[in-house]
Amino acid sequence: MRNQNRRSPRGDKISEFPDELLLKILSFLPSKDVVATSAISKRWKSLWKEVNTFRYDATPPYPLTCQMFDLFIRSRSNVESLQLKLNPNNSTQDIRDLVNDAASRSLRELRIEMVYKSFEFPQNLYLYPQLETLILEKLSLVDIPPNVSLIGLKKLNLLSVRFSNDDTYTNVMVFTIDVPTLKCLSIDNTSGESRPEGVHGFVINAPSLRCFSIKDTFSNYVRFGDMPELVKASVNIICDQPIPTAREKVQSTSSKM
Amino acid sequence: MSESNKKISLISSEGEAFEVSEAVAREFEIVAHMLEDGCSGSSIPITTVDSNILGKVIEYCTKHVEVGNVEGNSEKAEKDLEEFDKRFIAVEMNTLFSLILAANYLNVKGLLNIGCQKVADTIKDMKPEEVRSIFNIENDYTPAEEEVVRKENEWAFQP
Repeated sequence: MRNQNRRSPRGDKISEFPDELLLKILSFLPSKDVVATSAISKRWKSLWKEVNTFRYDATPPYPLTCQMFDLFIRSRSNVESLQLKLNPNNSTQDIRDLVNDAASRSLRELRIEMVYKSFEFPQNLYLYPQLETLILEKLSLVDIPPNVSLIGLKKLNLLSVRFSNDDTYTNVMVFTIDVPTLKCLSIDNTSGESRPEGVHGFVINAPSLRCFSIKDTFSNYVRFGDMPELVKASVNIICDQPIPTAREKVQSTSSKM
Repeated sequence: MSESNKKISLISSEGEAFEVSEAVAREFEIVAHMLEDGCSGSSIPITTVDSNILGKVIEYCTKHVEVGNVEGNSEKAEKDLEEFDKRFIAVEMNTLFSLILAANYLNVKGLLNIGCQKVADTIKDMKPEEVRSIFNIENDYTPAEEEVVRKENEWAFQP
């Protein structure tokens, strides 16, 4: 029999870490690497099964397809956090399946980043009331439905997120964040080449907000509701363009989140 | 309310005392809890952390308290702090492990996070045999056992 003493004579310090620490380290790795740690040694054999954060990075030359990753997600019972770095080759259908499969496995945190250009995000993103954290980066939200729930959302980051509408006759894009449970909101709207036409910006109604940060050099319309609980705020808005007059149909395109 | 200039001594495993402000000591959540529980002593033994590592953890907390206190210009401050973190955590593997264990024991969440992230960054994209070799991990599988483990999740071992 092999000596069961965990203190390795060769100075294997990491295998002496308590499980909670190894699991924390694993939660920073892409899921493929997490599962591959099972072959390191017996100490690592089953740790991967306890990791509830699932990361998929589609940055080339990554060989794992979205569908293969989805098969893995379906084999798990609890998907607490799903963190995706996608590229435009990932089809909307694949992403929708993936998000749906994660959502039915107790998803609480969803982070999606587009690596290259923006794409159209599936609408069913808005339908998961148990979601607590939503972080979107470098993507475009198209045709946001008027009635979206996300009633339990506590943290929302919109980083270089574009909003657009198929209705080419309107030139109004006001994104309304109306989430009574929201504690932490971060918006970065400073990158991009061309400014959209017309009225565009944010309405923020989040009375429970404690932590608020907005950097915005694009919007020409930003309105905040009362935030009596606010502890920390950083507001950096530069608006150097006039608000266009007339012809906008504000009421028809506001979207609630 | 506590006075902001109150000093607290943190005693390392070798018995060396490090005098820090209460604000810095409170970055150690374990110390913050002790203070809240009415522990009013001005010296607190940190018996599982040696002087070298305790000094480093204090350096980390001091920097984060300083930056946290500066009003305005938060963007630059955040960048500076990021740079500081990056330099701070660029240490050899044994020191990194000791920092992680200390941050875990003392409950310094920020340091624990950047430490674990650093280890993860190191082993990202590595094969199991490469991870073994950089961490000195002995492979206690028989070849047959290892084969079974690999077969179980073949997709994760594709190049």
